[in-house]
Amino acid sequence: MLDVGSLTVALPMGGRLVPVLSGVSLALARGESVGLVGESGSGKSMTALAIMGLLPPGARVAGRIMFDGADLLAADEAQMCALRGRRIAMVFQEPMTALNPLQTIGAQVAEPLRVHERMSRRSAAARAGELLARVGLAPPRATPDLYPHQLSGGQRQRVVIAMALACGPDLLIADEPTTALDVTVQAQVLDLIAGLAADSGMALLLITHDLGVVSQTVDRMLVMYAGRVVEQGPTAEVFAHMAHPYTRALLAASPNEAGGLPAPISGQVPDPAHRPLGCAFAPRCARAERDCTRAPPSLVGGGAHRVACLHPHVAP
Amino acid sequence: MSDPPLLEVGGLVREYALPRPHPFAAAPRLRVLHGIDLKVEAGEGVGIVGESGSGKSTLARAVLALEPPQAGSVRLRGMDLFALSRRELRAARRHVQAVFQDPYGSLDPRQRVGRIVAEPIAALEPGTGRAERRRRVADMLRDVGLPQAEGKYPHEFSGGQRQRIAIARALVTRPALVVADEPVSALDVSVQAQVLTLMADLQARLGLAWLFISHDLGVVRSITARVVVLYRGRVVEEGPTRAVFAAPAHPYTRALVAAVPRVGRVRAPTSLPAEAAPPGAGCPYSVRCPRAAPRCRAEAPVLTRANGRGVACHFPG
Amino acid sequence: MTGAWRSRSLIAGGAITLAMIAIAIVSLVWTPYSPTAMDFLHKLAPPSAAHPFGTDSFGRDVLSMIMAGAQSSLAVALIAVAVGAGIGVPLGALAAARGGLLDDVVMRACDLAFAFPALLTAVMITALAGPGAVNAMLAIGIFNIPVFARVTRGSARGIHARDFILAARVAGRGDAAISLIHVLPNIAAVLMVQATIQFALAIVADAGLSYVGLGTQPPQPSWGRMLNEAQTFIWRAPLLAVFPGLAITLAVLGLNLLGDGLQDLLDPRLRRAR
Repeated sequence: MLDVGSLTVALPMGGRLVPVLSGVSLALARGESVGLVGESGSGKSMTALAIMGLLPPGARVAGRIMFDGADLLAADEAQMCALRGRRIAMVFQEPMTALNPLQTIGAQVAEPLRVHERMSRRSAAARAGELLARVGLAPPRATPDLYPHQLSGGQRQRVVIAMALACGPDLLIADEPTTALDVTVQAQVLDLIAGLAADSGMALLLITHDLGVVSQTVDRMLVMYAGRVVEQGPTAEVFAHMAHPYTRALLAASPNEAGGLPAPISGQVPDPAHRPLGCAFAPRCARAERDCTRAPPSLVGGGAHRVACLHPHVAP
Repeated sequence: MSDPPLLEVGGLVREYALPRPHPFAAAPRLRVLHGIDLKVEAGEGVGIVGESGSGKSTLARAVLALEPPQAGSVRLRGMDLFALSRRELRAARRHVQAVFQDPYGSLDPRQRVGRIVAEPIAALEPGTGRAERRRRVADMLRDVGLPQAEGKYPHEFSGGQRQRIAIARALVTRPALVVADEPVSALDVSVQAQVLTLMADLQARLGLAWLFISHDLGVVRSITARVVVLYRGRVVEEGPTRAVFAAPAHPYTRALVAAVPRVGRVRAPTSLPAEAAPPGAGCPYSVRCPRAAPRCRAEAPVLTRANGRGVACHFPG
Repeated sequence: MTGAWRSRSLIAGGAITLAMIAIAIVSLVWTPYSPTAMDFLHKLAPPSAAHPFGTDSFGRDVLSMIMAGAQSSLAVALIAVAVGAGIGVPLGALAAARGGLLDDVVMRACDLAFAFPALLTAVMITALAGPGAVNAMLAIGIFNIPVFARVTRGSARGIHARDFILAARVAGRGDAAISLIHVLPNIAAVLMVQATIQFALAIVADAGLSYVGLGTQPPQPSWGRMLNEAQTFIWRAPLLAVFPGLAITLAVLGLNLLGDGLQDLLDPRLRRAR
């Protein structure tokens, strides 16, 4: 349904175009959930913005973004507007900034229905009530005439999810939807998103920095580093046979069950304007050899599990 | 007689005034901390774990003597911080410093790094000569892995580097205790690990005690030896970090541990009802607790200690 | 495109303002004629090579008067703004740092001051204290105090919410030191922009007071009084009103452009610093 091919995005920085995404390919079928993992600067959020047609002004885009047969890169702003919120919806990290503090949550959930579906005020309000109930905000705990400030962070994120679901989108993009929430609430919201996606058959693109979240929520995953996909495959398979040194380093750097200090990755994510010529991870990689510095490796592998590394831990 | 502990918090109560409902009403008060007891020994790493609304940041501000409590005391090596004169408090501040969460907000964007790191010396040890101040700042920046950063501005550094600068500022007066309020939660995973390693290293080398406040159990687990779990302004469980996380006694601690997403483990379906109002007299957790009995709603449990662990629950297990 | 426009307004505003300052300074040592020398043979003369802006009803050279008038306009506005900022900024900073009752009192006092129409009250003050440049400066300056207090307090509160203020308190700094070392440098941009706006308003206020005879006293020329004197001859010599009017307009325009330009120049730095 969503087909992103060799997507390359360059942004103007300091007077020249700097590539932030290089050849990102990603396909999503109806009902499928895919996780995009990476640290800041990896390009995971930029990929989402490109799909939504919300790249900053001056961005140079090449490649292909097809959605249900329509070419999104060729679509004009009016066509994108009709798509956004209706067929492709998005949930952001910070629920408070996504909500209007002066409107009731019922009115905000009803708004996309009035705009996209041209529903009457009354039927939109009724539908908004149903949607809020579906995300766990049913009376008596919460009513549609509450204002955002009367809710907790987790409840606000539920409202944002209800807004995203209002028009029954085919694709939900969730960009770090639980990072701002408490652990116990985080688990509830993730369950909610995954459950809604499974029930309604919509595709889910979950963007996160947390390997634990990915492991427990999505069918397939892509690991991004410095604007490229470095490893991808079915979640269980990737975790069982981690091939890319970066994926392993990322896991080792995450706080773990055993306690003890996580293992840091030396160095920093390279700044997009000064990425190394070869594999972008080579300067931080313990397995790097001379051939790693020549050209960025491309994704290889026979099956669904593919890795972009000349010296992977295991050949996928 | 043994020496008093480095930090001893006793019966700390903190309330905030809420907006008055009308101009002639008394301002309603919100109790954020309900009598907290806490001890930190020299060189010890203690974690404070809790979700938003647990009062963990309020506790940090009280320990830093930034906001006076309504009741209770904060004693540093036996001295009650809130009974000290201004001058004595200033002298005491050399021994308690802090690292804050937001690496972008905690450094003055208009000052160079050298001046930022020197600020505690300038304010707390005004007699220090220029050359000595400069030398200590340089040494400290080298210790955190940022040699020769003095002349640059904060915006020239990444989030992890800024947090190192904040750590250098906190340690430049050689404090005995550093309060770190969510020091790595704004950082990327790989950078988080770098900063945690640095903090552990400095603790070992300088004999520092950390009071490490975080909502992230994994982070607390990796750097502290002892942990205190807060829920709605009360200590619900405390003990050695490993033991508490391996076998939580309080149902809330258990829910927290279970909720952390972990690679390769299927998450138990969440059964907790979302946020609910705290009851009047009973256990504050009883509204969410799967084991709550009538007694829990009638009577708040007190923290009982045995074998180095403590739990505030009528039905621990 | 907007970037180019911004720097253009900065350059234009800066140029006009600098030119005005330069004219005021030059007029201290040289004007084509003495701005007070009367020449009844050539009164109400149209612009000519000898008198580029013509002469007024007493035969004084209008160009010389405009040049000398810049002195008093600038001096009155400068001191009025200095009085306002000198008292308003510390008040606002203190209110932001202390909060609570002090904050309430200072802000309600500002509300009270805002409730009086500024120019009318300035007229009243000068009428009571006697006309003259010094009283005009003070009268206009008083109404700048609440403006600066409010702007300072508002921006300072934003800075006080940041963690580096907390860090400074942990480092043992008191309210005054924090305001001086951390808060004021971070809100200097906002205050500078506000100062240019108040400067422009002060020039207009000074012209207004002089127009009704309460500002700068004769024989020292002032733009406001020139306008007043010109209105008697508005049908015989319309240009006589045009030149001082243009001078006021240009000065205000220049300062406003400068303020706009400064705001845009300083703003991105603040944003990047976040």
